[in-house]
Amino acid sequence: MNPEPVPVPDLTVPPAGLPRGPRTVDLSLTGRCNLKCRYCFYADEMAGRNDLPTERWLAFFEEMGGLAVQRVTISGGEAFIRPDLFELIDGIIANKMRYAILSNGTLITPAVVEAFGVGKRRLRLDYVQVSIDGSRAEIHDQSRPPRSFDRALTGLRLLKEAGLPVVARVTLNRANVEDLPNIARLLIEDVGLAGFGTNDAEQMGSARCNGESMVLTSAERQRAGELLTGLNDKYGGRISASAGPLAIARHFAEIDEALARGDKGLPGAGTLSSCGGVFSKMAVLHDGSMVPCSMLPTLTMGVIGLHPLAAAWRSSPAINAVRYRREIPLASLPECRDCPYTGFCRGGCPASMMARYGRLNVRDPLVCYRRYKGEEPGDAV
Amino acid sequence: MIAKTWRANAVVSCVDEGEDGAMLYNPDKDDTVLLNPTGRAVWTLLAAPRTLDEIAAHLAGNWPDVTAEQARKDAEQFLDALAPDFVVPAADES
Ligand code: SF4
Repeated sequence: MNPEPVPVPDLTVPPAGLPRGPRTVDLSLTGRCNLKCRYCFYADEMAGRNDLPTERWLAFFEEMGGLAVQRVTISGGEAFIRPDLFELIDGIIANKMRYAILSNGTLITPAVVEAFGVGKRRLRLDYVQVSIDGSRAEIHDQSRPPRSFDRALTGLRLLKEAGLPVVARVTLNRANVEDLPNIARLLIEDVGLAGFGTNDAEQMGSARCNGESMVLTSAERQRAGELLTGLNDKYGGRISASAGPLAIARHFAEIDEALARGDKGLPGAGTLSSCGGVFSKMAVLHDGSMVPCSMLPTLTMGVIGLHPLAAAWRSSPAINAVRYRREIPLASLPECRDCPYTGFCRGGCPASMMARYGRLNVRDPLVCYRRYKGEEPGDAV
Repeated sequence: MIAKTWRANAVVSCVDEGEDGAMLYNPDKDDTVLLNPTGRAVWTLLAAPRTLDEIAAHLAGNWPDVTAEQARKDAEQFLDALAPDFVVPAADES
């Protein structure tokens, strides 16, 4: 029997219990970058939008402070390319927020490290994340310009030696899966990081052109998941992931265990409930466009300085459409209708689906447990 | 002797969450506290320096069911729970 059709929602009405404002805002402060990575998800936006001047950002930080936003994650492009970066950081601090920075690491010099010592910059810093995609230049630099590895590793070590909170992010791509044990050894044993995060190259931005050489095949993704699971056992759970091969491997293992226990489902599963980020956070692109997530750059909620943040956060159909996915039963989707695992599944990342299929309300075949078990031949989307 | 005064820590942000009260956030400590509507009213009062007696008098004056003794206890509990990260001695504000 087909389930009841899903009613058309009023997407100007926020879901019950939504906070007055976001707790976290991701800020792409610049579209400029000193590198040109071969899988950069933001490459299309960098080419097609302009940076905002300092005072537009500072005015927006005041607006965020008024809504008691707690923290921002700064990225780009490459954040350290902005000469006013520390002026902007001071604006974030003055408006009662904490901050983190995502960086390619290559512009981090002793002078940059010293600049973190001024005022409350160190106290309010959650972390600086440096991208490291290989244990040596021949691997890391396959996705980045020559000499990127040496400079990124120097930046990472400078931050670590200064006692600043620093993490690394490894983006799995076709060049580095088998290098994972060496990467883990470098980052944890040699550099001495507490751990590192992982994800994988998405079919977005520059990876649209370089996809065949960058984006993992299904077999490689599975292999990366197995390697990362083994390394996490070895290093006591110091490798993290909210997306990508390790997150998928964990998700499948969670379902295996639940089925073995005879459970009928998992908490929060059964609908397109992934991901929950849009209930507490949103993003602003470097031209001031407010969006639900920087990986959903076409879903514009408004523009900072022109549209109030509070109204965009609560009443924009663009972000409420992503939130509303949580109400859509997987059993109502054609590709999931007969699946015995709907009660265990959360449907995958909406940004991946928008990038690949131009639609929000579909499931992600990469996180499909039925496909993983070989019970659904081919790509059903 | 001059009575000790307290005020809201200036680094703390406050966001109202409707009838549920409000959430305070101290970004230096990365810590949050939820206030019920009574606590929210006291928080507003602490925009300026206040003594324990002034806080207790405010509670007793605005909630007629609350005895003076209970109001003082509530004010003490509020300060115990929120000092030093959210509420600071007025001279000590960070
Ligand atoms: S078909 Fe796949 S994606 Fe759909 S509910 Fe089943 S396991 Fe999830």
